[in-house]
Amino acid sequence: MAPTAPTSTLQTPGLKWWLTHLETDFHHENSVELYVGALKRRVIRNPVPAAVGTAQLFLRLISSYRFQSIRQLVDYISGVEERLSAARPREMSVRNMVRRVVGIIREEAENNGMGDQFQEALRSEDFEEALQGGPTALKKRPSLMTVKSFAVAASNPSLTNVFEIFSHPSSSITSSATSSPPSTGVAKPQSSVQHDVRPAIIQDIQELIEELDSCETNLAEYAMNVIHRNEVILTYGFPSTVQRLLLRAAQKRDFTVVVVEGSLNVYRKTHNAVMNKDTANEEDEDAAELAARKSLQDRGIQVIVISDSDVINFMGRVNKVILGTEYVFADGSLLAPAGTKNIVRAAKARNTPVVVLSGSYALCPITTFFEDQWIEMGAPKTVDFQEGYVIDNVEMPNPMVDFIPGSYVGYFVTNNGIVAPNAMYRATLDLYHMSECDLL
Amino acid sequence: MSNRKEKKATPASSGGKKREGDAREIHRLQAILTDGFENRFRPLTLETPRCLLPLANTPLIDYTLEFLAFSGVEDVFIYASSHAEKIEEYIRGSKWNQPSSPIKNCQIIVSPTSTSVGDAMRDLDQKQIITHDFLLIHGDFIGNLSLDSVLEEHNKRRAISSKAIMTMVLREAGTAHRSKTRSETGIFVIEKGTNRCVHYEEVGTKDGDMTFLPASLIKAHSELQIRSDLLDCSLDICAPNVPVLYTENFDYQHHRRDFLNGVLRETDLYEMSIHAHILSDQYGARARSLQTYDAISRDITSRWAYPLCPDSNLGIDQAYSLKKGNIYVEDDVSLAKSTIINRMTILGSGTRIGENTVVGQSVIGRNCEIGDETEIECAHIWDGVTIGDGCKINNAIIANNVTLGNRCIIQPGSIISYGVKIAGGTTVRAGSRICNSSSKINDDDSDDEKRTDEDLVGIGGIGFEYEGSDDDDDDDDGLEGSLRDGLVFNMNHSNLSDSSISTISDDEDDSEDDMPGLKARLARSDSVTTAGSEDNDEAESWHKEASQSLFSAVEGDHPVEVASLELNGLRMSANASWHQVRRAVVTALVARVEQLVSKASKTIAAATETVFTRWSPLIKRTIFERKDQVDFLLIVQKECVDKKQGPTLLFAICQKMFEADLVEEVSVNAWWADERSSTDVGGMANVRKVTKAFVEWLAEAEEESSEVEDSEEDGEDGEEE
Repeated sequence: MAPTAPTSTLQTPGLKWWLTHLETDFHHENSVELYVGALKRRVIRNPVPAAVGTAQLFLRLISSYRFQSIRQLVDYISGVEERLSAARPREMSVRNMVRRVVGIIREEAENNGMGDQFQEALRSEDFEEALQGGPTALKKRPSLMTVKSFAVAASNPSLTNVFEIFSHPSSSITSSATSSPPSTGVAKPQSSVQHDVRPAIIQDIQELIEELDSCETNLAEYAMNVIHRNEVILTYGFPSTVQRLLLRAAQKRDFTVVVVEGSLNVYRKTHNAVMNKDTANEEDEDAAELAARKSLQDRGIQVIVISDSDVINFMGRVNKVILGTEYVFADGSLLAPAGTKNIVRAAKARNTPVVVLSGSYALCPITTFFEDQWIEMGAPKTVDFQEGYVIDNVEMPNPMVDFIPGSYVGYFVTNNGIVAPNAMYRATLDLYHMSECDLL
Repeated sequence: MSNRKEKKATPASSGGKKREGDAREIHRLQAILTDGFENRFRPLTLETPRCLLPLANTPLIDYTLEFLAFSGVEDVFIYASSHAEKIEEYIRGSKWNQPSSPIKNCQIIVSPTSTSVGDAMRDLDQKQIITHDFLLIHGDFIGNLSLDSVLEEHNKRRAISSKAIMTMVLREAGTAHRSKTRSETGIFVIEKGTNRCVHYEEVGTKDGDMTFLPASLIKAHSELQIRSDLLDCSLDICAPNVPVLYTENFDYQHHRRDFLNGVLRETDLYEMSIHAHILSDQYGARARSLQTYDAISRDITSRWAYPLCPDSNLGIDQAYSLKKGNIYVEDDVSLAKSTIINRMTILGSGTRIGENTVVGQSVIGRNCEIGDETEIECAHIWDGVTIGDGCKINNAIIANNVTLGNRCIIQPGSIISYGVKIAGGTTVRAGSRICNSSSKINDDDSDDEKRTDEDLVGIGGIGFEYEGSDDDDDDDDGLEGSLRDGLVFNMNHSNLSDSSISTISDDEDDSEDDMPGLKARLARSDSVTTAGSEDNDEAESWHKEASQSLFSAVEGDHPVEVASLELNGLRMSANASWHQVRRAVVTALVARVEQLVSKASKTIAAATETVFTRWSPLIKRTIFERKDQVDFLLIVQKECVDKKQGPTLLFAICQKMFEADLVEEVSVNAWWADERSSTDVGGMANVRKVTKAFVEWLAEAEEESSEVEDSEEDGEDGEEE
């Protein structure tokens, strides 16, 4: 071995890379741009990493941002949100996290008696335009704060004021502040706003991050409610949320798990998950934690892997289908890894109940009428790249997710409770404020 | 993650503790990015460096840098040689130079003297930039493969033996894949188990092509894989001794042909091993020729390189969205109601398309104006192009700011370079390469008087045919490179055949192989078909060897018999065809003539007289039938193309050969009528202008005589067709 042969290494960007970056060289402008790039490059993908990454970014941004009024802060955040959403409109947990952050600001503003300032900020035209004019495909989607709740408008004492806001957005700060002594909004010692609110906001965001981290564990708490003795459980792709829940249930109950190995996009991950191997994915888990975890087989649970063409045959013997999800819409419909629709249709045909596990980060206060726009297309793996003739002549779409209407789902398990699809809107609205939602 | 990897590698190494020490100061992988050093994209690259040519509306180098960015490479050195200032300007203004760039250190090393990877590596060695393993990549690489697994294996091997100096990334791609370069197929002989590459050959893809493996290979290894299905990503992780080896062997130019082969041949000397990393499920390819450019553009539109797709909007100001059927449309595109956009199409912003126009499998840049009733199929149209009504464009590359009038027809394989203007109603012949007069041509043989060629671009148009250059024989890629490279950027047509050529039979063979559709059109003669395998390296090196040995024989005035014997021996040893032999003879004799002209200051005619009289017996021995005479004349013509006094020389040789009864009149006529001889491309037509008088004289002199011969000639023509 020659002494002069130091090896070179590489850190593939991912969530860990991003968190390290935030730790070591955070910069309020460059980091946002870098995050935009990371989202576009898909080095940060999937709901959980995107949610954690976004929340961490905003934690840093808000701690370093110098603001003089609530409105300024909200404007700033919405400006960043616009850039992030434009980068990956389909990674909705980014937007969800911003909603949560805005919600936190609202709460803290209200706690400090600045609720009207906050509402002013929300109503400002700039803000709306900023959110609506995203340059990307999803223009048709109502933007974050489209719906100005009437309550908000009504709470404003003067009617002329409302019109004024629309015609002269720039004057809105001063005019809005008229509810209190004329120039308080401006004259109030600026730094005090920051002092009053910021620590509380930061603390709340940290709580939000903790909530994200403990999301899977919280979901697993429902294991006993969901899984009963001697049941046969079918799952697809074996996502880690489902794995945790089953492991938890296995501590007390005996059951059988049937894993459908899934499409080309997920089958390798499925196999690894079943064998309890490193998923080689930069998900939120530590390798050490993963290694320490016992597999289902270790706990004496029988695990059967079947191909997805066998689903309909097996479905008759299955008591329950438990699925992971990417995003859940307010109407109870959801996005799940491609191939899931196959399972739920089979389940419907056999009247097998379908249970969907979903962390709160995945609940999107959105209704949609354009299913296609949510479907991300991947590389056409369905055909072997070596088949030169075929790939010259055949089109091979490979959707990464399936859109599943809420009618297929029996009930959702979220970390805030068990919810029926038609009550999903209620559970979603618990998380966000009405005015920050994209409902029609 | 990287830490984990480091730990994994540790137990394998003998000095575990020492490794740990190394691991603490982590060396980030550096990347050396070089330009292509090839002329295959001319005339497009006359004005823009290759790595800035847009592929699917994004400059090539952006794909490469994106790949590095998502692989986690933070230090990149860009070697810029041709158009270095443009590359520099681009990088400075791009997002890669921003503080927010994921590539933290993006340096441009301007090295205008580098003409090959070899030069760049030697320069690198001199500058002592590299202290540890680095990644060698080209500015036209596109891929989404995961580099960390490659690096992991590389490091494992390095930990066991520091002699494992290089890991090449190869992608399995079947035998006839669109993304593989058609001009050169690398044959990798790989030892099973260790993935060690033990032998490398490059051959063309024709059926007749063979390669010989040394028997010692089979003896030395128990299990070998001989693979020709690998797509060479030209992505190598190299140890720091690689640049050193280049310095030691100053004649290494090409990274595969010279370096890889050299190291493998001298295994005993260097005791170094080179390994292959074969991928089977991720994407990686290089846009190294027009054909692969087209193929990769298709791969990108059909999302093989995901997430490097148009709708990822990786460029700062891009805003594409994906519609069904892999159609990508940017904001602010205006289509008429009756416009039909077929699958696999990209439309850039600001583009307007008129009524009843059909666009399919094409890339259209920004701010293009396309008229009504136009058909665009499989075309690459860059930014700011204006296309009139009723045009038909098929399989073409149309560069920035080109204007096409109404009812133009652009036939397959055409390349229309920057700023050319084609007048209405013009048909651009298949395979044309048209560039604008404003573009400077650096080639020695360019005719300065070339101005707008109205036959080509119509009255009122601007632009002329680009003359392919084969003057850069010293550059390895020059010869066959400029030749095949250009070619066939699409399978369905031919014809780039007459683009830039060094050997006639080359094109012929390529066109026959790659584009069956036009086979019938092309003249075919047996001698040429048998001439077969010219375009591989072996043939080329044979040609060099043979012509050189013959030239020294001519120079030294050896007896004809001796020279002929020697030539024959060479022919037998390499199984060369008679066509090749003739080519060697011509090269040697012409070189001698030139030498006499310049040194002994004879006139061309006198020198030709001397040389060809003296050596006519040798020529006779290479010519057996009439079509061989035609072939001989074609070779002479070809040889004269890039000579300074080519036209005169050709005239003198023709005359002399006719006098010496080496060629018959029929053959001269057949040659004159031959399509390959009269073509505009490659300066063939130009060089024979002077000879016209001779042919006419010949016709006159023979006027009274033989109807018999006329009929014979017809027969000959028929055969040629």
